[in-house]
Amino acid sequence: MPSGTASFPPGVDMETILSTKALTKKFGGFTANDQIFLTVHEGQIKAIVGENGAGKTTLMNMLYGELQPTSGEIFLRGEKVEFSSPRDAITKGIGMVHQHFMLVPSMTVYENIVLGAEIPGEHLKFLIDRKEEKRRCQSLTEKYGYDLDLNEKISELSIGEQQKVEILKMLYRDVDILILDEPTSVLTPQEVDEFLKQLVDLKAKGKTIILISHKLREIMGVSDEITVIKRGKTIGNVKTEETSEPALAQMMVGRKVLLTVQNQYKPTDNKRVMLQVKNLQTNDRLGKLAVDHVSFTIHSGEVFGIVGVDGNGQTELVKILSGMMEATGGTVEYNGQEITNCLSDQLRKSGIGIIPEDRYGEGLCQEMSLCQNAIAGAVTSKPFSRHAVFNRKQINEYCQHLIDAYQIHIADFNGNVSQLSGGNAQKLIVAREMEGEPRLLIACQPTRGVDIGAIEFIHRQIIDFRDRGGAVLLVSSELNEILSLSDRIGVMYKGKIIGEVDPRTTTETEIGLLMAGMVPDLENGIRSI
Amino acid sequence: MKRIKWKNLANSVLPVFFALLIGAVIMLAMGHNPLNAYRIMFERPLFTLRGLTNTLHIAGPLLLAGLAIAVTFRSNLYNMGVEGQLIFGGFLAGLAGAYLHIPNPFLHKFVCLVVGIIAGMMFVLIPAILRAFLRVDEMVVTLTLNYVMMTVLEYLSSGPFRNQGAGYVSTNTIDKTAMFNRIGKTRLTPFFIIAFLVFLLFFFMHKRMVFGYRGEAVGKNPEFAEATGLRVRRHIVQVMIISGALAGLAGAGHMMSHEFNYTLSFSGTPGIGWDGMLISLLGGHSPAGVLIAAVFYSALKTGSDNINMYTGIPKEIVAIIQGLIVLFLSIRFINDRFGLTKRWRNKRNMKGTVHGTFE
Amino acid sequence: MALLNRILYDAIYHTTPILLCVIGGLFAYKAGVLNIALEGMMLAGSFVAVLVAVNSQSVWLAYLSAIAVSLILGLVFSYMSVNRKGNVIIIGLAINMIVPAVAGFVLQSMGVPNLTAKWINPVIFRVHLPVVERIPVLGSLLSGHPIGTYISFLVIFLAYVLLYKTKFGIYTRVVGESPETAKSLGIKSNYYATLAILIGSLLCAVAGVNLAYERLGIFTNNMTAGRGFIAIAAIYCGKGEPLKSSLYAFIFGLARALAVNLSIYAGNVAALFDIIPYFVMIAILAVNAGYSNRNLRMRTYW
Repeated sequence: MPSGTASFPPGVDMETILSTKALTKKFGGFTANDQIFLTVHEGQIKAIVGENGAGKTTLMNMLYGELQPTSGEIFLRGEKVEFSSPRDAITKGIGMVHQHFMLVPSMTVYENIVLGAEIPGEHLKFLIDRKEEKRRCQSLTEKYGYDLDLNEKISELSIGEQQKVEILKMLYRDVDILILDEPTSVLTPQEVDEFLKQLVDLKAKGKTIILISHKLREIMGVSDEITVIKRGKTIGNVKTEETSEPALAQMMVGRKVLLTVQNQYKPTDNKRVMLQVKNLQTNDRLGKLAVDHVSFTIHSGEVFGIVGVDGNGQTELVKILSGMMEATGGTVEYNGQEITNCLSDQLRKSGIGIIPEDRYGEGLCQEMSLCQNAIAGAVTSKPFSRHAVFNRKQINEYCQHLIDAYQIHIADFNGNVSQLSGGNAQKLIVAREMEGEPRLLIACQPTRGVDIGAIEFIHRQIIDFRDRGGAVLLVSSELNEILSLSDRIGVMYKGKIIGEVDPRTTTETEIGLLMAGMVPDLENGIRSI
Repeated sequence: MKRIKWKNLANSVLPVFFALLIGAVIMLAMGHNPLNAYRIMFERPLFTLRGLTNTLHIAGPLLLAGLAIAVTFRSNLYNMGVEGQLIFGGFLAGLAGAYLHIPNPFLHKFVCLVVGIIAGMMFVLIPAILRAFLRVDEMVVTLTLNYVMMTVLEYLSSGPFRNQGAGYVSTNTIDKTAMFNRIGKTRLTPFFIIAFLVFLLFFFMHKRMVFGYRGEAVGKNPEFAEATGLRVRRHIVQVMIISGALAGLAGAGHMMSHEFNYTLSFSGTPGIGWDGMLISLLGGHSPAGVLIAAVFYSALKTGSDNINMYTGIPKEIVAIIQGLIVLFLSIRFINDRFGLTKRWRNKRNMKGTVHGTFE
Repeated sequence: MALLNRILYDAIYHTTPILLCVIGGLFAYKAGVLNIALEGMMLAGSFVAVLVAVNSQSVWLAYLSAIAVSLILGLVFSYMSVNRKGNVIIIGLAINMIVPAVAGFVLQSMGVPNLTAKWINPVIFRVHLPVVERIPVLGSLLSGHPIGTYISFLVIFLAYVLLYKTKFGIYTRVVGESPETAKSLGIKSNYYATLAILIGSLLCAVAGVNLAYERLGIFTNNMTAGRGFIAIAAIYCGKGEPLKSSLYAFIFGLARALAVNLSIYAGNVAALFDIIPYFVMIAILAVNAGYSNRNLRMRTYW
């Protein structure tokens, strides 16, 4: 639908393409979106910012027809619209790229692009016309300057390429408005730059873009207008040129934010080697090396940070160290004792605490009670059980102690973990692991998707633990977190640690280059791996 | 907590109600009085002393078979081979009873039970190991092995171990020393007490011991279980073996307290192992639920003989009702979060919500 | 040579019902529904076909009623599993319990141990291929099978086209492989899953009728003898791809043919040959699982 041909009823801003009026969405008793007023102007990049859990994705899912509003209205070009499914939204010209890609791994690029809009054959209508499909996809990629092999399977593409397929999928449907949900969280800093350029290109070609993000810097660079959402409410609407990063951050959180924790590094001389990893390797399901000869050492009283773009082997590394995956080579020594390929219970007994990446996978069991989760990892030890028979009184007291000491907000002591918010669930894990009095803490993405209050609390816990002499392996893809907590930083790329930097002297540029696989070389400048 | 329990109860009672209702419709269509039929079916087995003790007597192996399935279901494993393990246990216990002439009655019984238990354990070892080490779907393997065991036992009982004196395919009758005798004038035998003690042990293990916790954790979130040190692989093997042992014990007990020799209809149709599955589902996979379900089901089973005897209705009506109960048990009539009517009223609003889409 | 020929002929013959179930079941498999009610649907097909044949003397009526009843079972299965989100394994087992119960109920009401449509002459269903028949060895191998056999091999090809060359097939695979994608594009998951299940019912009914008519026109209450489960194993082994799964179906058919034909020489132990297909299947499942997980280093078991 070309822009500008539709006639608008009088009184409506000519430029407004999409708007909402008091849009509200409730899930049971929980209000995810509360009377949202949003205005999007044609041919602009509109950014929606807010903390994790603020309700950005819910809002977008309503605009895309995936969720239906509990109350309120959506207007497209001044007309009231109701979408009962994404298909409706697409026909009206609204497309969305989800944070988790909606692609079929076993199918090819072009099959995914045309999925749901296949072209019937000329003669046999029930068969599909693959040639024509490919031809149209080809001209589409050429028009937007995307470099993709149409016959490749999705499972063989990089994340960045998959994202391009997602965008092409929407462009194929000729949408005017493109919604992008946290598009940059899976990209390297360099890929992010390219991606942002593409966005500006799309805008130049007349598309309207709605960009959801919590990365303020990117938004400041590319958007025209910004709407801030907090706890399901719109709390501000500003032009990008009239605001700044700190101002936005303050709007998002509602108070002044210290973007870094107070971290005073105390060098000590008599440090013990707590964890020594040598030439560790393992492979993924396809047999490719996922962790490739990784070696590092962590001392007592030290935080070793590992940073990298998601999917570069950090997950697998942590899984090996926490007993969830087997290494195919190399050794792990803990406190002078070899623990390679030990199971989780052996690791825990020897004094390792684990905050896993997947909170509701490895960390907690949502359908079990708080108490049952609180004693997880120590069920066979006293005082929780004797001769494999539980002591309920002790368990209840212990659970209550964790809740009090770590300020975990609960609704029902006897209820399941599913009642907890993300931040409180994570606090429960931190509490449980800290109370086990470990000497080595492995923390993987410890603050992903939790509110700022909980982030500060968890960071404090990690620093205090280090100051008490504990050793910490911190794995995160948040550069800020790594920079403010670590004493040494290793950067992972394609399964290798390709560089170690000192957080006090390094720059974000240096780490960003390493994350993208570029190693600074003294003689030739930058060398790509 | 109380609310949830009430719902679980409703989710077990409603399927039975609907299945009986459909059974009634079939009987009506055939020109019989369903109320009369159900009265005949349940009156004797539940409300007369002799009938009740008979019901409990039949319930012994059913209880064990139900527990055998419940213990795997709770851990999200499906040992569908309880039937095969059960008849193997029964068959070997029968051989031990007929060929090992041990004069001491206690010792002889003990040996036979142990043989049955070991038989069940051995036979479940194949799917258990394939499941734990190669991740082969245990359900498909156990289902298949039932056919294998039936064929093998058919051969053994009609060939090498056939009782030549009998006019039909059967093995030799077990020695008197291996038989569980009736207690007093009732139909009950000491085997029911053994089954009940096993039940009590299980009840305690599930409610109070690490074993129950581990099963729950593995069943609800195996990654969590492994990550918190519960050794899921070992648990899989362990639970499968326990399940096989229970099935073997059930088979041995059935042999020694009821059948006394192995025939081709040793376990009946659809077979005690399959009954066990229904019982486990009906009891919500909890030990106490399994006990109640076993008794109810036993009454249904013994009642089906009465229905055949006193009315003109074929006893297969009970098999149909059983199948319908299983069918209705597959869905939850009452959701955990909403009541029945409330759920339907909310259905329109809930439509379109997809899990995990709100941040 | 004659023995080998007979074994191969029998292999094709034993493959037919399994093959039909495999092709029928793999649509549901691709749609992400494990349909273990294949066995029950097949038995229902056999039972209704013979029952109607006995009472009506019409092959066509028998065929149509068998398909209709199987489709009703398919609708029950899909309603309970797709619409009400019930546990598919339990629903499947329930159907596998109900069908023989109903059959037994009817048989007992009629006062007979089994049903025979005596007027059915299996020979009339045999198809003699005009030219092929004359070819020395191949002729006797490929010709003279019941019509269902030829249908079943044709169906492999049809299934391939349907699954990979049409919208229906693509959407069904999307629904099974990536339900969120289907939802995000407005593809109606329930609709495609239901259709996939119904295709299974249809072909199972054909398999059942074939089983009942091919030799005798007889129905006994356990005549499917686990073929439905073997079909599931073949689908599993072939990962739901029509050609691969069909190949596994043939391997199972061959094992069965070996069991039957070698029993002439083995005497009393003959009965034990029947378990060969089951062990073949378990072995294939184990090897397949071991192979596909050979690089898996995760300690996850589900």
